[in-house]
Amino acid sequence: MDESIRTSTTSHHLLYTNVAPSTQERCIIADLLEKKVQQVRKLEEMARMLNNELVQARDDLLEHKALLSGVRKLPVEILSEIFSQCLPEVDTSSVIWSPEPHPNQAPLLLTQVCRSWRSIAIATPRLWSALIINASNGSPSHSAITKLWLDRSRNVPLTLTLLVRATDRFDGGRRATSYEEFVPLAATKVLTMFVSHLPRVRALALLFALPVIRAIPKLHPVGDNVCNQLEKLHLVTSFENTAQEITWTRSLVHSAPNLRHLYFDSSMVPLPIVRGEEWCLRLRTINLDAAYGIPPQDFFLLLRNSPELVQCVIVMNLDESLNHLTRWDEMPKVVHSALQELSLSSEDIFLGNVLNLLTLPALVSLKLSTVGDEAWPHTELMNFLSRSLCILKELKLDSERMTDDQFLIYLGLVNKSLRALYLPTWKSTSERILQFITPVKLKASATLLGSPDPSPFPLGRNLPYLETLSFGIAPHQYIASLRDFVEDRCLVNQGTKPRLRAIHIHLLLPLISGLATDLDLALKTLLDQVSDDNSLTLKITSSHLQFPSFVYV
Amino acid sequence: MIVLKTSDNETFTVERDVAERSVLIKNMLDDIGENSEQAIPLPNVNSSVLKKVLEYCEHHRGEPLPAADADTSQDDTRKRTTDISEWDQKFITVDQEMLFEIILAANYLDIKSLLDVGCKTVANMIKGKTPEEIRKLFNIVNDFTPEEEAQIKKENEWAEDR
Repeated sequence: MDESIRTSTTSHHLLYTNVAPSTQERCIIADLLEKKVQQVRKLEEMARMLNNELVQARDDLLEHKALLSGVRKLPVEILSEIFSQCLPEVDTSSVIWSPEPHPNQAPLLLTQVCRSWRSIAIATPRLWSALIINASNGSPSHSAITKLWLDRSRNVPLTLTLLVRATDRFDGGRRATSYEEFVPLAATKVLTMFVSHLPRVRALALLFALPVIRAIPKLHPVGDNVCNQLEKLHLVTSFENTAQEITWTRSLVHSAPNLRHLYFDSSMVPLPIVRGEEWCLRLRTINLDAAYGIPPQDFFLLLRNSPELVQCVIVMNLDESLNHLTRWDEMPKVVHSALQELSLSSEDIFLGNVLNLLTLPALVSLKLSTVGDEAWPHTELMNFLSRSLCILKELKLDSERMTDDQFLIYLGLVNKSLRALYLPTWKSTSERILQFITPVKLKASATLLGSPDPSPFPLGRNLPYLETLSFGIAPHQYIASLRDFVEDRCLVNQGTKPRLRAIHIHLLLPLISGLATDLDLALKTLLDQVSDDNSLTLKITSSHLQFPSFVYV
Repeated sequence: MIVLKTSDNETFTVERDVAERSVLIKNMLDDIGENSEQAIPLPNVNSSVLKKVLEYCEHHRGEPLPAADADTSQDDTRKRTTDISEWDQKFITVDQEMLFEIILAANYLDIKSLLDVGCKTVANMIKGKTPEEIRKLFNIVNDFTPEEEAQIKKENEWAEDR
């Protein structure tokens, strides 16, 4: 900087003092100030220009760096594969297989980075092959996103989910009066769009809390073999059991010759849907855990026509139009060599008649439950187990009529193979059964009390390979046994013995709140130790509403 | 033993079962016969990258190779997972330039499991980031026209409408 500008002889002697300048000096200083202002402005302009240049140079550097960016070298097919790996994980074990589309997630995220990524993402159909739409709020944009997805998926197999939750729909303060009003329009539109792509749908889940199918009167039955690629069908739906709903749903199931997995839980009577011989040839799992069951003859028909079936969950009841008393003898026996998991619930049917007709050598999981006063088929179950020669790893038996003696006999039979045991949670497990699960040393006290030792294995631990256990218990009655059980089968200090991995204890608490509180505190201390163990899943529930429930998961 | 020659003329002598993790090399060896002593040229791979690739092949030697028809790209119902084993994760913790070079080499040499590890690693880098963060990470230029930006905005509007 010019020294004459920086300072002057006039100002020099005044600087860094508190001396007031004279009038003449003030004039000189004013001139000097003007020059200094101009100099600062000039420098500021230079700085601004330099800064612009710097920003430009930096941008230029980045742009040139980008030319050598490694990601540019990747061929389209590799980028396409990377994009596929970016998709949210598909959880096929869940009802909802994938999360709803979101701009922050692939594939939409990938279309927002640059033109080439966008074009590659749009040109990769498999990125758009899974779609879940929650049309509960009726937004019209659901149709637009569905169309976008279906268009971009071109011709690849599809995994589609449509979810419609129950809503109390009003229109301008007026409650909906027709199904067309009651069901969101977007839901019917999306379902109609799904239906037009059925030939390439591989997995379909329709989860309706509202009668969506009834709200589309023009929904035509699905033609034969139209759903040729459909392998997984999940229907959790609200039906009114109208002819149109039944016809369409039946046509959907029966148009899928390659169907492997069917889950059907709805207010629709499932019989018209599953009756028939051809539709279930490739079936591997079926779950008809619906409010309404199917008659035994249709269950046997299903088994005979599904040679690949490995898992079967069925609610069974009688077809009132049939005289079942004479029909049992006419039913052919079924030997099914693939079935591994069977869950049968029945109402008004003696399960022994069903078991007498079954031989299941590959069975590893058996769940039987009866409702009401139906007799427990002890002899038939023993004969079934002896005839099938199956090695059970999972057992659930639930009946009011089954005795502890009978149950202990079954436990004796599966003692060395059982991995999971589900006892009823609606009633308290007896002390005898609880003690069967606890070690020999602890059973000595029970014997002293007069209970006979129920174990056919006097030495060593019963159910040595048990990993999962679920049971109900009245803790105020069996607090000592419960404590013994927790200490032996759950606590980490028993490290040398195999422990349970998952436990569900349902506490049936007493009505006297003071007693409940005392018991709860004692039990809670013990269970706190278990819940601290991350290698074990503990779930505690209670059914006593007057007493605050606590839950560990 | 097999001799491999890189683009920068370095040679690597490796055991046959290690080299044969690469389907490309395996096919070449099948073509030239058992007893050939000539070096196999790999003009698309330089020595620093081949060294890393061979480290991977050495570690995974003896493991079953994926079947030729194991391409599940069309299987949309499969459970996708970006889990990478602990050793593979350490192995692939390299700078970005090397990561992409390894991916390209795995693609050229046809080592599917290594390509898979590379792709999963890049996918994990992308997940959870905004478009701007992805651009910054990979030196990508935002070259959208205003019209394209408007179209993207329109496509994403529905998400706010749920």
